[in-house]
Amino acid sequence: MTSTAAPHHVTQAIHPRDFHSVLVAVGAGTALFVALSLAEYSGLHWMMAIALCVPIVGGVLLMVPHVRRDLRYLAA
Amino acid sequence: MKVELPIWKTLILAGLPVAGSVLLLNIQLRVDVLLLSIIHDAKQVGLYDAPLKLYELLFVIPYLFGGMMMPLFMRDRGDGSGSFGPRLSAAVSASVIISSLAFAVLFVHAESVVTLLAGEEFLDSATPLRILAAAALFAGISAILRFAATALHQPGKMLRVDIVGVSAALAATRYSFRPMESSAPQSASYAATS
Repeated sequence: MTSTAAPHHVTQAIHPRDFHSVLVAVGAGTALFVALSLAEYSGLHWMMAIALCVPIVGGVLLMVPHVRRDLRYLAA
Repeated sequence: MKVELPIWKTLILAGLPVAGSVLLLNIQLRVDVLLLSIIHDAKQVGLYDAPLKLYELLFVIPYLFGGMMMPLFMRDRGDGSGSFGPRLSAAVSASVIISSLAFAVLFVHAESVVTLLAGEEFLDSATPLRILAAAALFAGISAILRFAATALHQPGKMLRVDIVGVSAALAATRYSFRPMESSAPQSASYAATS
């Protein structure tokens, strides 16, 4: 009974827009992964690669409307 | 000034599920090292314990973040403005995004990070670090939800979930760690060659 009720309740509680942040997170993580791998391949020191790639990916993230809206909720 | 026993009783009874939950969380954090020390030798435990320290540091960040969000959760719940859900969603989103960035960094540069923190002798700790970085992502979500449950006055449910979590962690750890191969034949062969 619990096994059949749980998925029903979960689908009721979770709205599709709640998955946007997961998609954004997966995208950001993948982008950073690719950027760091490319930087490593090009021979850049790993600390320098992190210092360059993380702010760039973070800056791009701040331009995503969904992320900006979430930040407003965190600050209010 | 006097001790109000009824107030103390109410506070202690209300805090017991939270205390139990924190206790179970600590057990959950330590049980894998304990079981690993039983099943494997000290070298393996050391290789696992080094990245675990970094995992604990990573876990503290969303835990502190959840603690900072707690007053806002309480205010949202109190004023009935309906902003509790969006704020919780935003907090979880922020945790997931930051954790995924940390995971990407640790996945690509696990060897370099381990070497920097513990030395080249711990190079084999890179793989556990990658796995623990992925685990930190989910631990961050659970840390936020833990404070949200407290704000919703549902510490009992939180405690029950923690009991299930610890039981699952115990079972998974017990069955995922292969028993250490008997060292007797190795010792015998070493003795025979030397």
